[in-house]
Amino acid sequence: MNPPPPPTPFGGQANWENQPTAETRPAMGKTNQSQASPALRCPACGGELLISELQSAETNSCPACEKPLTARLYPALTRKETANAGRRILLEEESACFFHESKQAESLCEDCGRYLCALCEIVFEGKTLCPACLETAQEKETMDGLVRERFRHDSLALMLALLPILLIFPTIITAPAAIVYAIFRWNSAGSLVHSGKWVFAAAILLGLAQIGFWLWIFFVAYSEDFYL
Amino acid sequence: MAAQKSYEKLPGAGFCNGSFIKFGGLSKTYLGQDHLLVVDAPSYVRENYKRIPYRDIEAIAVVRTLNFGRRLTSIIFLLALAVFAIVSGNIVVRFLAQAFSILFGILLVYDLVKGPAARTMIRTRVQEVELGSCNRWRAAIKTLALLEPRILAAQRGEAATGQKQEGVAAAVVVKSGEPSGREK
Repeated sequence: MNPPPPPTPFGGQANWENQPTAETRPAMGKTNQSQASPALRCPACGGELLISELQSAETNSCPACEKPLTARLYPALTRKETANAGRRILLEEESACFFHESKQAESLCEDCGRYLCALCEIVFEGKTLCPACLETAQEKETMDGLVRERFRHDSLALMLALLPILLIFPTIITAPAAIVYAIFRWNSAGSLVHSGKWVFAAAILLGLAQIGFWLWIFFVAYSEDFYL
Repeated sequence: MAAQKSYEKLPGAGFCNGSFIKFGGLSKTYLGQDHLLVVDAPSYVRENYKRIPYRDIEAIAVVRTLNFGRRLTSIIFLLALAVFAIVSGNIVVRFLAQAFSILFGILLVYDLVKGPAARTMIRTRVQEVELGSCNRWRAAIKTLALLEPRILAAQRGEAATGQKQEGVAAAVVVKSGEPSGREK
C-alpha cells in the first residue's frame, strides 16, 4: 500500500517528487531488530514510536498524542557494528602495536609514526591517527572536525563597536577598543560555518567612523567659529 | 581542511531546546560532507557544535505541533490592547497599548507566514537529538528532502563496501502527516 499523499510544504504545491516512492524504494526486508522495539521517541510527547507502528500503513500520526507525524527509518537502524580487535603476533619478527605489545601492527600514525594495530587505528578526515594524536588534535583544535565549540571574537568586536552607539558617549572608549581587539584577534580561529573576516572588517570600519565622529565634534567645539 | 568549512545551511532557525521557555540560544543546522552539523549559539559570541554522521542516522521523526493556542493568545492580546487603546483617555497609556498591539500584530503575522509549527528528532545509535532549527513544518520537510539523499548515499555506500547489512535496504518508512494545510 502506498503511503498517504505528503503534506504540501512548499507553498501549497506538491513537492515530494524527489522523495523515494513506494515504487523506487527498495523492498523492505526482515529486520534483525524486534518489530516491537522502539525506533524513536515522538518529538512532541516523548512517547515511544515502535518500528511496527511506523511501518504500518494505517497510521500517520503519533499513537500517543495523535499529532501528524512524518518518520523515516534508515539502514543504520538494523546495521550490525563490527569492531576489529586486531590480530595477535604470531612470529617474533613481526612489528607490534605501540599500545598493544601482543597485537600485530597494521598501519602507521600519520602524525607521530607509531605502529598501530587495527584496534588503535583511527581514520579521521582521511588521515590515519593513533588515539593519542587524536586527543592532542582535539585539545589544540588543529582539526576542524574535532572542534566542539568556538568563541566568536569577530562577533565580540562587532558588538563592542555597535552596542555603545546607543549610549553615544561610551564610544569614545569602545571605538578604539573595538579596533584594537579586532586587529589583535584577526587571525584567531573563527566560526566553522561563517568564513571570512568581514565581521572584523565591519567592526574596524565602525570604530574608525566613531573616532572620526568624535574628532569632528572636538574640531567643531574647539574651532573659534563655534563660540561666535 | 578547507573542504570541512564548506557547509551548506539548511532552512530554518530555532531555539536550542525547542522552546522559548527553556531558552538555550539559537540553533541552526548545516550539511557537511559526511555529517550533519548542528550549531547551537547559547550566546551571541559562542557557538557549540554537534556532529551527526550521515552513516549513523537511524531514524528521523517530524511531528507537526499545533500552534493554535499561540495564535489565539496573540489575537486576544491584540484585541484587549486595541480596546484599551480606544477606551483609555491617557495619552501615555494609549501610546503604550498601541505599541504593544503593533508588536503582537507583527508576531502574529510572522507566525502565520512561517506556517505550522513542528518538532524534529534525529536518532542515532548513541543519542537522540532534537533539531531546534526544524521548528516549522515547512522547514522540517525541506530539511528532510535535502538531508535524505545524503543519508542514503552514505549508508548505501557503506553497504556496498561490505559492511554487514541486514533488513532495511533504504529509507523504508515514509509516514506523512496530514496532507492538508489545516490545523486541528
